Amino acid sequence: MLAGQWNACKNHPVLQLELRRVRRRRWLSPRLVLPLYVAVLFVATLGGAAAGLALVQTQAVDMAPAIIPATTLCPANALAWLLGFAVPWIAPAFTATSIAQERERGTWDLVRTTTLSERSLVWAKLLGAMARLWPALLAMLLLIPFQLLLGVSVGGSILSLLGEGATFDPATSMGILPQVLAVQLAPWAHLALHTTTGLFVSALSRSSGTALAATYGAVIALRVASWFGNNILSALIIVLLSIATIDPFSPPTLLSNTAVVTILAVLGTLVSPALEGVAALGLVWATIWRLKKE
Amino acid sequence: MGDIIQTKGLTKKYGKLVALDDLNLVVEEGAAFGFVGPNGAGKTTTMRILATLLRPTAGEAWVAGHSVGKERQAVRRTIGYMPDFFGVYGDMKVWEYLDFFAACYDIPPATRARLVDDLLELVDLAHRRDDYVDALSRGMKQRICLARALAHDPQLLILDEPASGLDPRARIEIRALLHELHAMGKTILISSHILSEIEEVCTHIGIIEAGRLIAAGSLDSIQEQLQSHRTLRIGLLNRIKEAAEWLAAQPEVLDVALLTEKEKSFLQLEFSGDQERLAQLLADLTRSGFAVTQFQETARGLEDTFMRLTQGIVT
Repeated sequence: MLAGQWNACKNHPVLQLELRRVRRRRWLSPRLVLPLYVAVLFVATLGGAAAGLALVQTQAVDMAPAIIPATTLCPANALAWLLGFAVPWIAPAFTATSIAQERERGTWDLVRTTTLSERSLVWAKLLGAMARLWPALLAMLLLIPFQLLLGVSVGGSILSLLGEGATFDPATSMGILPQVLAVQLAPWAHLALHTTTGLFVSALSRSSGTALAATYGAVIALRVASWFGNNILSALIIVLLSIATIDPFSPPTLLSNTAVVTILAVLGTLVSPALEGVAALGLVWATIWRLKKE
Repeated sequence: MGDIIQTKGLTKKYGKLVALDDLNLVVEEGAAFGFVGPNGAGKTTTMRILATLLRPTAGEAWVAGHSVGKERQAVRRTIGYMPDFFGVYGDMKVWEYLDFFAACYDIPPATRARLVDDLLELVDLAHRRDDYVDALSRGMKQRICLARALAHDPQLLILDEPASGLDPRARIEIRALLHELHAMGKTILISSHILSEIEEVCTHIGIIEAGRLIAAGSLDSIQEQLQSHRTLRIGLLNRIKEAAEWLAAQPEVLDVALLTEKEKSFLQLEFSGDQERLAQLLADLTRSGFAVTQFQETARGLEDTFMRLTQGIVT
């Protein structure tokens, strides 16, 4: 059944059309990109591991404030942050114009009167718009392992050294992994929310100019709302922690407390992407509903 | 044959504006139905509802027995729609364009290549197969759009102003194509401002104004219904004034006028009698010694019918 669905998705004519357009553009050759990526990952991993080891060997807790910005400035890390910020803001430009531009050109009615379902059209348009950003999305995906390595090696070491007795503890170091993983989800959640907002606005708009302006207006409003939401959530977590008699601002002393802190921190990091993911799915559903009601 | 299109109380409102007002339309299967009306009469709105692109405010429509509102996929399989304004994917080649739409109708890849060739042959664009769609003339784009609408071999073609903006040659080509499609058994619902074209292509017409259907039926029946009297043109060898006086004295003759055209005089009269009385009039005229060279009923065209029925109301 899954194979059938995959084939239907892969062979969807609208998606094929979008992919053909992407293929016609000249991109950097994969032969060049792949070795470049391996080299960057290798150097970055070595750098991250070296920084972590330096911390462990010297037990130099004082070095932490200097190492954190240093690792943030590491090219691969900087690229990951840059992409994580820029891609979710660039992507809605493609979805916002995807349907509205076809309406403007007068091709949308022709596609709508074929036997393609509204659901398949919406997904094809979404995936087609994403396909235009494939080099950036691929880079984001490929940088995830590096971010995890860096997060665990440096962040984990610092957390471990900040603990009781300031000694390196591999278990504590690895314990940071869920948090690091959760942080990696944030740009993808933003991307999902922003692109589906663009798609929904596109389904409502008659011109691509209006769709673009309305999409960015809506996305900025969503981000502001999300910022307030996150702050409220963080405050709530602090309240919950104080109820549990755990001070989040001082180093954890008991294993059980550490576990609670980790779980709450992971949950806190996960709630926002999860909500954005649910909202994105809701927007896809709303777009399909809107097209059916037209 | 049954009805392929049926609408019951079809109404479409845009705020306070009533685009369609309780429209009851029936189109028989196999007909070439011309949808005529002034700008803003509701032709495009009706066609867009039938093409599942618009939902009515009230009423219901059926295409080949499928509800337009509830069975949209079934309706889409039945119709081939060509809007008045349409765009093309300029970055596609002609064959790619048709292949794309054939794929949209779920036609398997194995049969698509043959289908594309057949469609191009039908619309006489086989020689432009590998050209980009954007490079085609407007007439050719109309034809390629018509070929697109035929990709899934629909029963019904809904064509909104297919000949608008075309030069005379392209118009003739489209007309010939429509004749061919009708001969192939397709039902055609066509709207046009060019009434002479509707007259040539269509077997039935529907006249719409201000969202209401004023008249519908076969072309002949509508013209017959409208004819309260006939206009006759009579040519005579001589004694034309005497003949005019004689005719004016006949009971069913309402008016007689002596006209001259290209230095030739003839009589034009309004006659209220039926076919039998018309034959009797000719017999009496010749029996009275008048040398009749021409005795002809002037046909009323669709333009005349249209002008008599409509008042130029625009919603």
